[in-house]
Amino acid sequence: MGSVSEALKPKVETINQLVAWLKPDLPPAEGDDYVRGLTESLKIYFERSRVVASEDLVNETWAIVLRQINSGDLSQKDFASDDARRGYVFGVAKNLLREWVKKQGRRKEDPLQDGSDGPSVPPLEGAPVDCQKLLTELVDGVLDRLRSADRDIIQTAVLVDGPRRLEETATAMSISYDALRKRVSRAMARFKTAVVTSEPLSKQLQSALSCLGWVSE
Amino acid sequence: MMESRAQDRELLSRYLLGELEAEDVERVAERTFMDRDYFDLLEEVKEDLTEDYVHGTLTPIQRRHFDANYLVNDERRKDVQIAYLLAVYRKHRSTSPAPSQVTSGFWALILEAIRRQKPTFRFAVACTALLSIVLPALLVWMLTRADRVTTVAGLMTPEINAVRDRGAVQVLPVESGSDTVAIFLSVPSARGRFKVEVQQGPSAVWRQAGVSVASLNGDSVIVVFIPRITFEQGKEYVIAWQDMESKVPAESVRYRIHLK
Repeated sequence: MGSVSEALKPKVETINQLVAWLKPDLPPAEGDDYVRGLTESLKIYFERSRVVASEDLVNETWAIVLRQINSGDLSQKDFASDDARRGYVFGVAKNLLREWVKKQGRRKEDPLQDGSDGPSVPPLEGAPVDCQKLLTELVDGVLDRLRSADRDIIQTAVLVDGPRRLEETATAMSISYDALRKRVSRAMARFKTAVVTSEPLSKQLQSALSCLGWVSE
Repeated sequence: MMESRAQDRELLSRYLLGELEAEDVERVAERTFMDRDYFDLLEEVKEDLTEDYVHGTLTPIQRRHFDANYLVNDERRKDVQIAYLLAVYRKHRSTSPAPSQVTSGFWALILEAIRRQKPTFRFAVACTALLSIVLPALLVWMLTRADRVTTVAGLMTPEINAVRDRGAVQVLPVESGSDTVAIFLSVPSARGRFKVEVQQGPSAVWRQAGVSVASLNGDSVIVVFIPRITFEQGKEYVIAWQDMESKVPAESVRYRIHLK
């Protein structure tokens, strides 16, 4: 009895379980980043393939992967490596895209034909003093919420040197450029999460943007 | 290798901007899944495109493609907004004037009291102060020297500097082999969160906010770790710190860097 219910129990339900299936050697703390990265890759692939509902196809891809794992059709042993498992996910996405194109019979208008100039970003220089104050409060507020390691890396590599001087910064810190780049990316992801998950910070972000002349869509 | 990486960057940039034909899209997409390094490069190119966009360094056609093909969801719009704000922040920090060099009221009173004493008393006070701060600083220096990454500038306060070298610029010896300069600053209270800035002329060249107070040998101190590359040989810098909560005027100390 117990063995039957065990057999029926889904093997993969959570992101951590999915990561453990795709890449068993990855530390649990990096699981979210890993799945987020793959999801972003799927999203870009569908967008570049001019699919109208790219988000839906991303969700459908993951749903198929989970169904196949949980039905017992797939096991980690069927694949030689993480790259192969990632390749399998891409294969599912590719088939889904083909089916979608066959069913829909058309793709989105090619945006390259769009001749509009699009929204422009306000200039970086000459921000009014009031805006600078809002901005400083926002950045300080976000930094206060980060772990000291993330705060230090953002202070050094983003706020002072800037992303365009990462190679110099890496040399000064005696670490490799790739290692620094990864640390900056992770710290910036947490910076962004802190902004979007905090209502006061999100409001400060919008106030600062609007003060600087950012036109909301 | 470098050339191939540059070509990969170019291809990924065109992929993200929607400038590739369908068969190339599939080829590039597949590689982003199968090749972990290529996937990491894709992330780099996304960040670079976002930076170029906010700095206005994309070509007009690239900018149009970025708007039409890349900036198509809230998450990426948020990335652009944050990159833009941080770029404005950097511009602002690099051009903002240095705060005035003011010693806080409490410490100014103590300093004034010391100044009114005879030279021998002043010398004794200075020696006592130095002994109480040099030993722990030396200990930290010895500990950190083990991996040769940190130069410790010691516990230096405006008061001590004023007693020793009134009005003079302090020379800060920095080991050229180190990559970090740790600076210990005495603060009057065990509470508070501080902003610390390194200023060169009118510009802030390094800054940290939210620095907590620590206790060292009974003293309340804040410690900051500044990348050595921040400092250039022979240049003068002002290190300023201010309690973010009490809003008392900023304190500061002036250093000339001597790379050893």
